[in-house]
Amino acid sequence: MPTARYIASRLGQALLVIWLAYTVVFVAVQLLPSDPVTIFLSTDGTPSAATLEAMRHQYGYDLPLWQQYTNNLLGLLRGDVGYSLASGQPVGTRIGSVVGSTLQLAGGAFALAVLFALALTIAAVLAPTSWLGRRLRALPPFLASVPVFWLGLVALQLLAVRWGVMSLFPDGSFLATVVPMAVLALHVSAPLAQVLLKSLDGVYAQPFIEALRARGVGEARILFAHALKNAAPPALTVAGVTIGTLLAGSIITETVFSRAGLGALVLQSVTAQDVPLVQGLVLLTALVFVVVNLLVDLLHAALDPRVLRSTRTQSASALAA
Amino acid sequence: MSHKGDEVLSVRGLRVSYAGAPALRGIDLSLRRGEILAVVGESGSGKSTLTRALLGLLPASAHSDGSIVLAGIEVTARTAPGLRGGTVSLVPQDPGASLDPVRSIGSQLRETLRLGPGARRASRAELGARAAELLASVGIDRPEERLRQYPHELSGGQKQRVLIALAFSRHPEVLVADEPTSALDVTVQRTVLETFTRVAREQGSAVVFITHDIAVATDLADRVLVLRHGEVIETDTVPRLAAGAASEYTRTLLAEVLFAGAGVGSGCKDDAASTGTGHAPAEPPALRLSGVSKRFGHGAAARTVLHDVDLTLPRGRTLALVGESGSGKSTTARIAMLLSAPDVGTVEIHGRDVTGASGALRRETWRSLQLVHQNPDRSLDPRWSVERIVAEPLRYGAATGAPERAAAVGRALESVKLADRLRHALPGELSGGQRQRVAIARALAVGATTLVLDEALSALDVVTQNHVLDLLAELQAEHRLSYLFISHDLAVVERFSDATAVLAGGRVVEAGPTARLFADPRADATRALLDARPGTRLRELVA
Repeated sequence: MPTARYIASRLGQALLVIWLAYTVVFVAVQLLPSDPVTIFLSTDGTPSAATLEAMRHQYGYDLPLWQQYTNNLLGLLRGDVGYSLASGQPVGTRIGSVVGSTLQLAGGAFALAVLFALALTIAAVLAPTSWLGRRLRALPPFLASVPVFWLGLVALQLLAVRWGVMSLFPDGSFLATVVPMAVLALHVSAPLAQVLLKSLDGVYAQPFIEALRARGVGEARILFAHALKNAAPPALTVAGVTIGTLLAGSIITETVFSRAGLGALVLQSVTAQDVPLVQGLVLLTALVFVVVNLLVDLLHAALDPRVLRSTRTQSASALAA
Repeated sequence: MSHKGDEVLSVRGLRVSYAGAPALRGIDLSLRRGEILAVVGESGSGKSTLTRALLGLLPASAHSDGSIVLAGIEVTARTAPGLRGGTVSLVPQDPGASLDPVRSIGSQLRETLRLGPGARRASRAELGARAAELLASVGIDRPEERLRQYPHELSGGQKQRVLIALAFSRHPEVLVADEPTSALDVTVQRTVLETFTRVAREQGSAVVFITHDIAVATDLADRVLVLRHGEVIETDTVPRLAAGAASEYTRTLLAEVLFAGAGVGSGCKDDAASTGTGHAPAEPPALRLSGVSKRFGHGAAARTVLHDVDLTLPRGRTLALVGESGSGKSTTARIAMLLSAPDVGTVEIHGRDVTGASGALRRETWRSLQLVHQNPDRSLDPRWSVERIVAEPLRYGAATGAPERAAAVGRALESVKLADRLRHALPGELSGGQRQRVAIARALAVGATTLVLDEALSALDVVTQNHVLDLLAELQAEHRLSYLFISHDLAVVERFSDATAVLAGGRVVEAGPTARLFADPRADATRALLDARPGTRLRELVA
């Protein structure tokens, strides 16, 4: 039952990380100079003591700390993340109304990034001339150094202003949907391609590749059936980490292309000092990270049977050898 | 002597060079159907280049001319992909790294079978059945079950058997075996070689068997070709070589196998001295393990790896520890090095009980007790200079300044006969023998008088091995060093050690003066090890 045990342990770890993230956010809010209501209300004038008191009571900031902590945690388990101070709407509703657009952008960009990284890597490995291979290998570091906002602005300038083939604002057309994704994808694909290429080089230096060639297995099959599967785990790990880049990049891309989404919401919540909403956004980010990295771990185990071997038996047999 | 119609491989004037540096300088060889030719050479002789050339797998950086004709077809960049697998195939060197680790054994066998004639449309079940048959033919038990297993679930010997099955799966006319058993221990080596030659004879495949070990070569080959510095020194049948080799070099290699008293060692390997009775009895032994037992794991999974092991290494002597893999040699070494504590029993170093030592006492003990690892490529940091590597342990010893450390490094390098100009070199710039000297220098620099040599020579070729052995013997005579010498190479053990202990199943089944033990083995495990030694055929032919 190593598979079941592995999945259970990864799931447990994921839950633990989310709980820790929640706790860290809660503690951070307590470290603020005063409570969230005072901070929020002081952005426009000096509120009366009675208003402050009423609002603190309404949002539960007058309860003892342990009670706030457990109430919020129980709320979290029911999917209730509290109320936005600025709009009075539940935080969940505020986030829910825009998260779809951002997920579409980030998800699409990620899929494009993976496709692009794979295509680039495969072309570089199978390049008919070493000249072409070297040029293709130089591409990822170049892409990594191009800022997303600059690429976005250039794309807008050329496509919307100079050639007029695309609307300046999101209008649901194909280009207006795909161009922001592609801009973000190019940036995210760079580290993926870099790691995948490096990892593939390592795999190609291993003796089993020459053994496959010596048995008459063709180059294409060696790449697709053997080398890529061996080289994938480091790239997968990087893919999990690039989620951060992807979210940050989404916010910038949304701003450049005037799209509604988490980007605008983050901006609003921070400028309005709407602490519960910021809290909700931080928890959402933590959740996305945890889920993606859980998927990476599970995929890693599916790709490499050695992962499931528990570390204890491994070290014992290594010692006994 | 070769019949033209029977010839399956013919190499004429093969020259290969890398960036102007020649690796092969005009090789001629021919092979008849079903013949086994052993190519013997030390590292740098051009063996690996020959292997790659025969398979048409030379790297793009290689420049080659001359001709290789396989079953009537000239090997070129265009014809080679079609010849590989079906006409010529390879049993590779390192079984541990030569199977794809993330594909099951069955999937790798089916993949190769599918490349054969008429198999393109065969069903998965048909191919699976053929794969199981193949595994059974190379002596793998429970073949159907093995098909579902992954390489990491098999032992080294089993992996090499799978690779043999893969190489023979499409009935190649010529099979190139590149040091197929050098990573396996003696007893496994023997059974794997027996399987290999049996399958080759059954299929009528001709074999080019590439090895550094002339003992293995003479055991299984019809003819032996000796390669040195990219040239053929001589080629002849085994009986004629045994009767008298033409070249001095070949005679030296053969003498190693026949143990014609190569004279390594301090020269006082008499029985009295080796048991330690010839010395002042008051002097405590360099290392003594008494009643040592060790278990790994818990509950039902617990395994006892060592049972009641007693070993004594007198000061200034060499004690060899031999046994099959899994017999407990490495665990014994770890316990002797204080890297692992015994469950029961005591460890004494120079008369002091250091059982379970940790912290300051252990660090102090390591000043007189050092380990030399099996593989210098892995035990030296590739990014550190020789000087920094040798000086590192000094930093944790007595508080000495940089000038003293530099002087100590100089003395250590001098004692292992490494030129002082190499102190700034990186490990990658040194030869295998030089790297192992650096590892020995590092152990000596802190003033160690007892060395645990864990298969310290097995990564080196015969000639380099001899140089390092000579050096170790000189150092021992000069500084009264004591060696715990762990090895699977019985030929080296016989020449080099005063006393030998045989481990089997975690017990010392026999121990005593080396000469007595080799002449008159009493335990079954000792006899099995001695019988598995390669070179039997040569010894019989000469006797």
